[in-house]
Amino acid sequence: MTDPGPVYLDYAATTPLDPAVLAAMRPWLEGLAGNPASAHAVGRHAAAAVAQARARVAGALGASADEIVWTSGATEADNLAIKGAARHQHARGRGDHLVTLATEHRAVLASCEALEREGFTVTRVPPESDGGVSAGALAAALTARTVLVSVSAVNNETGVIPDLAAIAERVKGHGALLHVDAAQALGRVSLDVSGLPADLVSLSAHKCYGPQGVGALYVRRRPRVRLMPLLHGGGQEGGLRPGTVPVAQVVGMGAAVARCVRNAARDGRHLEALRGRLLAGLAEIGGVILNGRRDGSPHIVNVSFPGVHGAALAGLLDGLAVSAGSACAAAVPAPSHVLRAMGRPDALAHASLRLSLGGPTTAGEVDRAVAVIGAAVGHLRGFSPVWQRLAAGETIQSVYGTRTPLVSI
Amino acid sequence: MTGCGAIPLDPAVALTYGGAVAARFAAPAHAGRPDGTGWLSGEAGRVPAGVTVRIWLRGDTAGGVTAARFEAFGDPAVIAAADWLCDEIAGRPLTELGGLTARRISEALAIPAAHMDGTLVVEDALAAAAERLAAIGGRSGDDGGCGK
Repeated sequence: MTDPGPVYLDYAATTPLDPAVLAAMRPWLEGLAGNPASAHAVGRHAAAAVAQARARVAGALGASADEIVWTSGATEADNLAIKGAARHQHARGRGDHLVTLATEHRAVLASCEALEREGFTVTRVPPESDGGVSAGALAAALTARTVLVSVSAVNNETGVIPDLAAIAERVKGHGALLHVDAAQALGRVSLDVSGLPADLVSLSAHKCYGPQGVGALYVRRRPRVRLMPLLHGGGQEGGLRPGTVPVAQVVGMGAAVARCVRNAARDGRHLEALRGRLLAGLAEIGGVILNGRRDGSPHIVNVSFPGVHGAALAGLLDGLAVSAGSACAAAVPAPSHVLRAMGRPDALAHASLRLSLGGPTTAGEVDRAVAVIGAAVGHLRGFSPVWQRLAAGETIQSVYGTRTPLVSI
Repeated sequence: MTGCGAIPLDPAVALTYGGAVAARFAAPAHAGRPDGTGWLSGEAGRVPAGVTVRIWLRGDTAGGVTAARFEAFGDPAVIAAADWLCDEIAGRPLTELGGLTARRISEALAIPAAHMDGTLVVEDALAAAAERLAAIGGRSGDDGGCGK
């Protein structure tokens, strides 16, 4: 019997390049791509391909092509959106305060920290124990000096989906700008800026079966949102992101985004079915804590295993490519800031797994993953004094020293 | 009272902790609460700190330790350390157990410095168990085993 290979359940980290996307990119990789800023025919040919890709990305958001700025990925898009908008607003005397969630991606939090070092103040709104944040809680953080609010469309660790419409209403009613990191949302959660008054939206190609190394930032033009660029050079991308536009990369992103939009309904049903199967399988293991909400994005499941040490669990997941809360190779792995913000004690945050599903995932792979995880957890609980206490009836809160309400799946 | 069977390991365990730790972590022969009576245990560590270990000892009338088992909540180094310790304990006089220190465990298993902390908890659990066994003369303890 041949080795079936590892089970890849880390689609929230990156997705495989779709063959159709590679086919679209190939002519621009193998031949002379041309510089889209060049005036000659070769350059104009490249510029036309870039324009088509820009239109495809814009179309996926309900935006106009001139509202899309190419970046190297979502991290750069987050940096450009947050620093660029905050610095511009501050320079015009509009304020120096930002609001974000304590559970945001590091690219958002680190951008905010950088602004704090420049004199801005930042409020990080804590989530509920299930990772959710109400629009009211976020609105309570707004002040007269708030210039920008940054919220993810889908949390990258837990899959939690905030009520963006309600949040946008409060933020826009307050007169602040709204940035949405939508890196995990494309093809999974609908996002239409013709209906949602977001000012800035970060996108990534490699999270939706496109190439790594390219992303985009939606920048609203009506009313116009102005940014201070992070980089300085040529006048590409309206001066917001100088540098030669990588034709193959953006063509790949355009093709990937178009694929996501085209397949969204089918992929959504597939992911929902697999997520249900995964949750049911994990529930069979027993004593498994859900880190997130059942109404979260269909591609992410985050769970903790009481009674099991995170590093030991990670060491027994041979053949599984998942994101473990305690990476085995780290000397002193830091627990997830997202799970900490949700009140998970460090020992439970370490003993967490994020399993993320994708279009190529099969029911058989989900079953194999559940079997491997179940065997590892059962093995470790078999000689765990912590599991002995839990099995004897002590509460998780008592054993782990926490007051956080925890929900089993 | 058999040891735990081997489960396939992520190759990162050997790279991170070393081959000796990986081998014992994959198949800890002395893991699990003991069967039968005549066992005493000592525990050390805290869940919030990420390590707890319980060492089980069974003594004889001559002041020796005839068998040892362990339960552990810890990283692969902790589990391997406790398993190695149980091998070393069996057949020794109670008075010699003090020589089985964290340093000796770490050296025996070549545990990298970044992962040695947990061996101190293993040493403390052994000391707690040995103290209890010594207090009753080394032979008539009974904390119960699996049936407790």
